[in-house]
Amino acid sequence: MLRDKEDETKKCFDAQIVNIERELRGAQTKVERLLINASNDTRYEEWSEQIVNSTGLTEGMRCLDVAMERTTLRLKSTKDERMSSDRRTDISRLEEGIRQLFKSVVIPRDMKVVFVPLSSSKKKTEFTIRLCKDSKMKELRTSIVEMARRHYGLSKAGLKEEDVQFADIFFQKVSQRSIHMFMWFLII
Amino acid sequence: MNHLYYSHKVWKFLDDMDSSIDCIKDSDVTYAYQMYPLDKVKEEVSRQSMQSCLESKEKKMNPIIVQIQIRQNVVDKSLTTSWKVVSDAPIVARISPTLSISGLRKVLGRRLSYALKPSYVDEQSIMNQVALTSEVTSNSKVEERVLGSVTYQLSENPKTPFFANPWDSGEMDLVVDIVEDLDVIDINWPKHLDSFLDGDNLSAKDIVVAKDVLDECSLSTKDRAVTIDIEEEIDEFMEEEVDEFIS
Repeated sequence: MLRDKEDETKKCFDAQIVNIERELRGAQTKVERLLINASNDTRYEEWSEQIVNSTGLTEGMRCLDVAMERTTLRLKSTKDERMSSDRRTDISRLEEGIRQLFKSVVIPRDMKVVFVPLSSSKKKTEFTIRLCKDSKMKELRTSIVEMARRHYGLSKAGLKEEDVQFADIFFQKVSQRSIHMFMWFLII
Repeated sequence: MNHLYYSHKVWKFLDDMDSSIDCIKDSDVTYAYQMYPLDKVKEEVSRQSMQSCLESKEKKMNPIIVQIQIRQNVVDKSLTTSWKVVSDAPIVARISPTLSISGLRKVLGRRLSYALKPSYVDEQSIMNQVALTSEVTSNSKVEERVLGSVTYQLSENPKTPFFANPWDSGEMDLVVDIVEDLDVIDINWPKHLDSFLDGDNLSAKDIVVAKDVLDECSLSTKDRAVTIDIEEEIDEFMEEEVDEFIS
């Protein structure tokens, strides 16, 4: 009979311990989650360890309360910090965006190039095209070839880029010969 | 004879494709010439070298680029003769190392057929009457070399016109053996053939403007003013945004 009572009391105690342990585990998980949210701050690890290692339940619960309170405070400040850091990031992104905006502004240059086809049945054509000011001659050639293909109805094989020769034609330029003649004139 | 035709030559060949377009000034006159296809030149060279393996070793194998201009002899008021170039820009051509002088006449006949009148005229017979010369600069002196069998004196005799025979030894010479890369070849147009040359057609050209350039040209001054206003508003908005973020 006494044994039965002892067993019943033990069962009751065991059930209570299980409940407390469950609560403790729940609280611990909650704290851990909060700790993770608080940017995994290493300062909270020792509290977590204290909770895990504590044998006394009251001590453990007190530790948890302290941890919860501090975590809440920490979370609040972290949130504020994060907000301010987010704002800083946003400003720097905005600045970078503005910088990129100015950097990527294409300064256009309109160029006139006279294309002379190989076939005599086709007339010369003056193409006016727009390029970026920093473009290379290769890009100019590609643009001209594309326009010429479209204008004359030529295929890619009909007009290859390698078969286009650019030349700067004398126009209101002073040749070396003219300079020599002018020098001679001055001497005389 | 005065050389008044200098202002029609190529000032500079723009070969460096990796250079910036800054090398072209706004005042420059830029031409893009379609050349005789390089693939065909290579085919011709390989065919030629197959035919005469030993000879080809000694000969030049690379094509050259030459500028060709038509010039006429004119007499001014002071009765001095001078050369006048007909076109606003020379013809720039890629010459295959297998091309002979008579072949060059055929090429030139084809290239100039649109500038000959009347349209039914046989361009080959005309090209066989012109004297082709090449300018060679040595020691700052310009010397002329005759290409083929037709000399300037022979071509200027209208009573007994002289026609180049493709089988003449002079006509069978290769162009690359006489002319260097980037040299100038002159077509000395005889006076009695002046009526066949249409100078206006030689310089005629179409004008094509790219769509993006055309769109901007079509914008009126008012539209442009509006565009500028919008841009200014965007700038102000951006400044305000930054100020707000910083504060």
